[in-house]
Amino acid sequence: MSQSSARWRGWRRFARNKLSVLGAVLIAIVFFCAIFAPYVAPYPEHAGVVVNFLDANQPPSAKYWLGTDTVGRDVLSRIIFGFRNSLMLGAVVIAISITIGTAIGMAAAYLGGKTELVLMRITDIFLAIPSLVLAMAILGLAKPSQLYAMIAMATVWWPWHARLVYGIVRSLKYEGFVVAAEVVGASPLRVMFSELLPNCAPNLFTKASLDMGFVILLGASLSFLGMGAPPPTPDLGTMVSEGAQYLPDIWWLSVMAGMGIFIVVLGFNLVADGLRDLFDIVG
Amino acid sequence: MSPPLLKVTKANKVFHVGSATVHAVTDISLTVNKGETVAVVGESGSGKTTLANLILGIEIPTSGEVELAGEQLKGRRSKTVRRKIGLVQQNPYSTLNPRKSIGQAIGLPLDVHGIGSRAERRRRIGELLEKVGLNAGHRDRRPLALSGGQRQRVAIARALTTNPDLLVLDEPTSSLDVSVQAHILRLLRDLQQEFDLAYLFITHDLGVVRVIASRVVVMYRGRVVEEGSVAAIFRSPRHRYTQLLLASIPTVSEEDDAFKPDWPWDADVKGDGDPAEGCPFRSRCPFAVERCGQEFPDMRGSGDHRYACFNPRPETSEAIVNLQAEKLERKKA
Repeated sequence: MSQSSARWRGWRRFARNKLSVLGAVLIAIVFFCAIFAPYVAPYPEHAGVVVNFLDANQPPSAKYWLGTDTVGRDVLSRIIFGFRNSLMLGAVVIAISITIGTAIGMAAAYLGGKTELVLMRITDIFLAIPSLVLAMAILGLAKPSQLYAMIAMATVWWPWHARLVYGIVRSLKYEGFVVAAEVVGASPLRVMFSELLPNCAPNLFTKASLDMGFVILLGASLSFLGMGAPPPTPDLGTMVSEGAQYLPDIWWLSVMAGMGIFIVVLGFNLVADGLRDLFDIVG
Repeated sequence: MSPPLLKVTKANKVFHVGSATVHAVTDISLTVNKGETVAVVGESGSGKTTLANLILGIEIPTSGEVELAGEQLKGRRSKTVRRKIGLVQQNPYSTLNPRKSIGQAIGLPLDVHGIGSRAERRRRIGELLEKVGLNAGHRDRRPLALSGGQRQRVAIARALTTNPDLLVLDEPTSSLDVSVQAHILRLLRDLQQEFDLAYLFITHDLGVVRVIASRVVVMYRGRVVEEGSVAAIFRSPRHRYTQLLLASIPTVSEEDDAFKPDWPWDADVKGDGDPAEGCPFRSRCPFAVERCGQEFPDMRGSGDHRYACFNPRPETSEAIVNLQAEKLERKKA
């Protein structure tokens, strides 16, 4: 009884904020499109190398809802496949940076002493460099590909998670339940992962949702600068960038791809707000 | 004679905070025998919790020894030693992990020590919950769903999981409602009898001491200033600080009041605040003599009641006890 009613109460609290429900709906649609892209997209083959000059540069119409690009590919289909790309990028980058960031922030805060000093100074150095510049510098060393873009972005992103976990663990490490576990003889690893980590989870979920938007935005920025997935992979950032040269005449290329980015980022941010209410996180 | 269960000998703990050194605990010696309750009393900052931490192995003494059942505890503690000492903390709201169920909290020592199979652990957790006056149904609850008193019961159950000989109770009742305090104290007394437990009971509440303890150790600024049986110390406190402590117990009736020692003086710190040499209490003590500024007195008195004071309060004689009783009679008339 307590389990399901707690879940229900949680949903009620989340749903109190109508905007976060809107965010959840947006994300649900995006996820649905991304997963079932080959079935949802009107012209799934347009995600690859297709040249169809007959229908090139068509404005939005009944046939092509969001118009076509300079080689005649359906913009809507490419945006739908672009969602796939963006979500994958965001999920992988956040998974990597949460793993690294949590391990480093947790070890620094709980072990203290020299470990703390070294780990947190390294974190500070990473934080001091603007993320886009650092990611570009890393990508400058490799040829553009989705994989390298992910690695570069995880490298700039983990310090934020390290800071977050560090702050939480520092405030918790003298709590009674931590001392109680230590007195019983629990190993540092057990204290960190079994006692402290569950208390970081709500904040990490909220941060992950918020970051999903920002990471996708950063990914789009990198693609815009030509450092993301190489063509013909449909990528929202690349589409904005390519379309920009034809503004304002063929406006739908950039604007529609930009709207796609906007919807994803907005959705994740709204959901993050709801999660914050749900977990009662202050700040 | 077998050695005492817990023996602390001349323990010191010095903390370095920046350039300052803080003597949290100075030359503390005490013993706790099997099955007895020793209360450690003193105001905040008197080193009670540091003493507890030394015994629990959270802190390592700068010098001095801690022995458990004749075995000297040095360096990293073995699991066998850890099993023998349980801890109940002061704050029931921080002592349990909010993200874990009650069953997980009580089962933690079993997990850590690898005791029992899943089913055995489950049974043991249920059994412990019953022992502390809860029931097996609380196993899957979260701490958030429990009251302060119930959480403290869970903390006691957790401390008992490994069948310890000694429980360190760090102000276990001071953040509870008075009515709940009484229940917890009764529970502790029952458990003590059932399991032949020894308690090191840290508190600043002398009312609680009287109910639960057989011996008292009075601490002031990291030193033991007086120790003895509860009866001896309540009847006839010798150290001036103990006198002040007893005089400050709030009483309900004039009857109680008549048996309290007097303290008509101002008890605030005066002069140079916290003296480094000599008796730390002398800046608050109207009875301080010159010698008090030069050295800290050795413990004097007999085995049952010892104190460290150059100018102690005279022993309460039968005559005074009778006089107090008479005074009370007159007031009533």
